[in-house]
Amino acid sequence: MSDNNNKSAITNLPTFKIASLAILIAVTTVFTYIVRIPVAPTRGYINFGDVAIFFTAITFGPITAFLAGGLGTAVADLFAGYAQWAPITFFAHGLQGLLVGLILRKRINVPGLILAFIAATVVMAGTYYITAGLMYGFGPALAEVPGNILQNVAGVAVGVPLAAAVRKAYPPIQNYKW
Amino acid sequence: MISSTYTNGNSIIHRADPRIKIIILLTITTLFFFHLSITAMVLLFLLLAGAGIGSLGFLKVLQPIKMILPIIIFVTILTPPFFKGGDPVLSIRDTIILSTVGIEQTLRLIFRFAGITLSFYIFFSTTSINYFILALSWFKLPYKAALIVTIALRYIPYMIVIYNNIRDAHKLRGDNYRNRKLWKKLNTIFPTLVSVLIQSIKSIPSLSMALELKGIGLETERSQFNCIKSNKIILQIIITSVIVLLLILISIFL
Repeated sequence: MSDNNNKSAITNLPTFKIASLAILIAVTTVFTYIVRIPVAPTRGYINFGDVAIFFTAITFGPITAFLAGGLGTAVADLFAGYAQWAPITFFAHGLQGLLVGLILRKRINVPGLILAFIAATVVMAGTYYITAGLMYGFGPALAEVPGNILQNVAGVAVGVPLAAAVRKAYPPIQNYKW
Repeated sequence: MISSTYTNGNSIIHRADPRIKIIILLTITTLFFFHLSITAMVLLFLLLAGAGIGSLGFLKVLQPIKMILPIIIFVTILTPPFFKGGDPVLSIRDTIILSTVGIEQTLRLIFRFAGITLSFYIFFSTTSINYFILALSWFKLPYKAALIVTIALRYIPYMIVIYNNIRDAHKLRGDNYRNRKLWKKLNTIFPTLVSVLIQSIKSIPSLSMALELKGIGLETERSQFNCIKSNKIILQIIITSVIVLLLILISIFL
């Protein structure tokens, strides 16, 4: 049996979705919690959770991005000691992944990327702003909006080339979309 | 290395049924979102802090409060100017800086956020993730969903090891991770991320086959090896009902 046939046989297994989701959740958690770059002016960090979400949305499709993005970042919140944000994070990042996946489903071009970035930013930053506003006031909640926009910039700027690089280096991944 | 958010202990909260703890957690979180009086908010917070100190110790309870301290400072500075009703407490010429309503609203927001943070912290420090997932399964979380999360949690330490190994390999080849410029930092980390992703994705087919061999994809009814063992469940349910009722009464009448 050729390698291609093997790949398609594996992707047809009922357990393939379970395995791919579990691995992608773990990847998203590690990208959010471990892979970080310090940003000198703000003394804060850019985490790569959104990079993982953009990568998953482009490579595996919207449903996988919704589940892996939402659950992966929620688990990262849990481990980082921000458990109170975990349910909100699930919806904020899950919807972000779903929208990016839906917009970039058929073709990846510049207008599509701009639209995906805007939709992801509005949904993710908007969800956090509304829930943070309800928790500790809409004035202080504004302080988090620039950071969330920056996260999405990193997501689109690194996640999209990353998806292309992985596809080039490991072509069988093209059969993994579901 | 990530292991768990759980802290070992033998307190009443540690031993309580996780399903009951989920119900109490949801009740407390919901109550904090109601427009409660400051007295009720402070009392709820003190009850939580007392429960936390009793089960985890004083220093452990301080941890989540320390983590949210920057947000509390933001709330203290930014909230009062938006609420100028009531009697003025501090004003410069004709501009009210601080009013009684402003103070009340600031305290309400601080106790709400601190209370929700503390309740989630106590829950996950006294409940292991495995028990949490088992409790969610009891609340009808689909078997596949629970399985996916369980496998993911097992894979996270493995992924961290992969990431660290690949990063170390790239460092040995001369990659400078301490570069000050953001663009250069991204350029350095990019090949590492590509390698980590390829390594991770390559493990999907083998994991899929392993699950298949264990009969995971079958539609037949499954038996469960692990289940929640609870002592005196009826007593726990009665105590929970009393706690929930008391919390609601405190919130209404104070």
